Amino acid sequence: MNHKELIAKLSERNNVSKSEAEMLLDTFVATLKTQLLDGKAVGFQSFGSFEVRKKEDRLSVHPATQIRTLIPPKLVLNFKQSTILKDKLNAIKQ
Amino acid sequence: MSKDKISSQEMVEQIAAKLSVSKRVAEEFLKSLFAEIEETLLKGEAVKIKNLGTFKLQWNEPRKSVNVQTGEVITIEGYNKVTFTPDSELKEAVNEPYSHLEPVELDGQEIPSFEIEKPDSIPAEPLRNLNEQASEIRDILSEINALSASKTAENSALIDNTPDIPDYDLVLIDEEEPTIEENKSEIEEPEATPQPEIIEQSQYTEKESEKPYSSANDDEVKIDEPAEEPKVSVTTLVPAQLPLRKKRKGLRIIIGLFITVLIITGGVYIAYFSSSCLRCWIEYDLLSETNRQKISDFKSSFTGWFTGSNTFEKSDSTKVEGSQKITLPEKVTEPEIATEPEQTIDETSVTTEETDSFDIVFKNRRNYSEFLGEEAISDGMRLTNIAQHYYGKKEFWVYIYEANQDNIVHPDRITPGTVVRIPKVDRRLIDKKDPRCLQKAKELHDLYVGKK
Repeated sequence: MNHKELIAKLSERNNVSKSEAEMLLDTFVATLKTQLLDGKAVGFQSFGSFEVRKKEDRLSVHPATQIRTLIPPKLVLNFKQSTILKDKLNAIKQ
Repeated sequence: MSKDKISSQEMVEQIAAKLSVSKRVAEEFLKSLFAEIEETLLKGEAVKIKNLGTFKLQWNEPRKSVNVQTGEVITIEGYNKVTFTPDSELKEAVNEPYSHLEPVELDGQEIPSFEIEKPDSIPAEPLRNLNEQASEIRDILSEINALSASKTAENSALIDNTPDIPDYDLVLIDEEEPTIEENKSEIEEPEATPQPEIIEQSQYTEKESEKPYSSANDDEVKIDEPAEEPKVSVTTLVPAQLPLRKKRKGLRIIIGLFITVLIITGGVYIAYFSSSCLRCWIEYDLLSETNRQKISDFKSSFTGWFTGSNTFEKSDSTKVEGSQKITLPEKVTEPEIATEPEQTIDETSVTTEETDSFDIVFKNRRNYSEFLGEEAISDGMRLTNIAQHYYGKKEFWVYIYEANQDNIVHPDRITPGTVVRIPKVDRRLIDKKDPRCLQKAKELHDLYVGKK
């Protein structure tokens, strides 16, 4: 499902126009982004949490060429599903 | 988590504020959003949100694991997991603080060179062996140098100890002079011919020149030979070791200089002390051997000093008398020395400072002003033990007793708890190698122990 399809579905659910739904979704994404860039984690109880995590620098050795490479530290956006979502998914699957 | 966590409620508030819509609308919207994503995921589809990323549902297969505590094998059942892959834009935006960093290859260049080295390592082994040999040779050379150093020390010791063997001294000097010449020739030859092969030849000539020299002379030089020969064999083994040669050259120069300095000092020593010290030594010798009677006189006066008089003032005066008695025969012996002037030159180094000053030191009343330390006498502790500890010989306990006569009534009956001061005695009096010191100490011992 792509962005457009999602907007269409959301407009149906909330009885709002597609443009309004798009605006809402965009604002949601923008807000989420600013919060994450601030270094804050954002959690949604029924869904999961978004968090920026730091990966420390490390030495990696290429197994074939034995070239050792220093991988610099980096920040990664991490999503963790909530237990509610997990249970739901598993219940349906079974 | 140290980071601030923002709840969905706060998110709703922010969205509502931005779009100027009611919170309820925003909340409803978010709920519908998550519900929609969930439903779509359950259909087996991925949800892609612009500028955010993609949500996918991932099925994790059941797998076996072991309970760490019990060792039981347990199976983790399969489960669904929502994975989120952030949009590349968002990913970059998040990683902005570290975006300037790039992976660095640390030793990328070393690895190819390492692979090239591997075939080379086999022919390199002989080289390594050579290096090991060189280091071994260096070690041997240093040992030889140490040996030669000790040898020179022995020579110097011989010069000092020559009093015991008077004739030997002159012979020693005769021997040493050719060795210096030998050393000089050794030094000069390598300098003229710096090429290793020629050095080898010169080395052989040295060896040849050494052999007749050593056979011609006596034991002293034979000590040189074993030390010298390993050097030659070592250098012939590795003729290309030029730095080693240089090292040896320098050492030879040093050794040669050392020997010359030794001879000069020895000569000065002989010339300086020949006149004065020998006389004193002979005086003592004659005194002890020929004029026994005088000594017995001295002894009697000495014992009289302690037995006859309790006060020190009186003993001092008697002591002066004793010393006068000794000086009288000394004057008598002086002409005898004059008749034997040649002998004085031979026996020059026989006499030392210790011999002439010994009697004077002993005769002078020992006033103990300096002390090495104090010892509290405990039960079973004896002055001899203390003397053994401080002076290295138990016989010298008499000096400790002398210094503590105020406290100690009798040396064999010291009350425990008495603090004994250990005097600093003139080194010439407590020379444990000198039989005369022991004799004097024994005299004092008889004196003090006999006095009851």
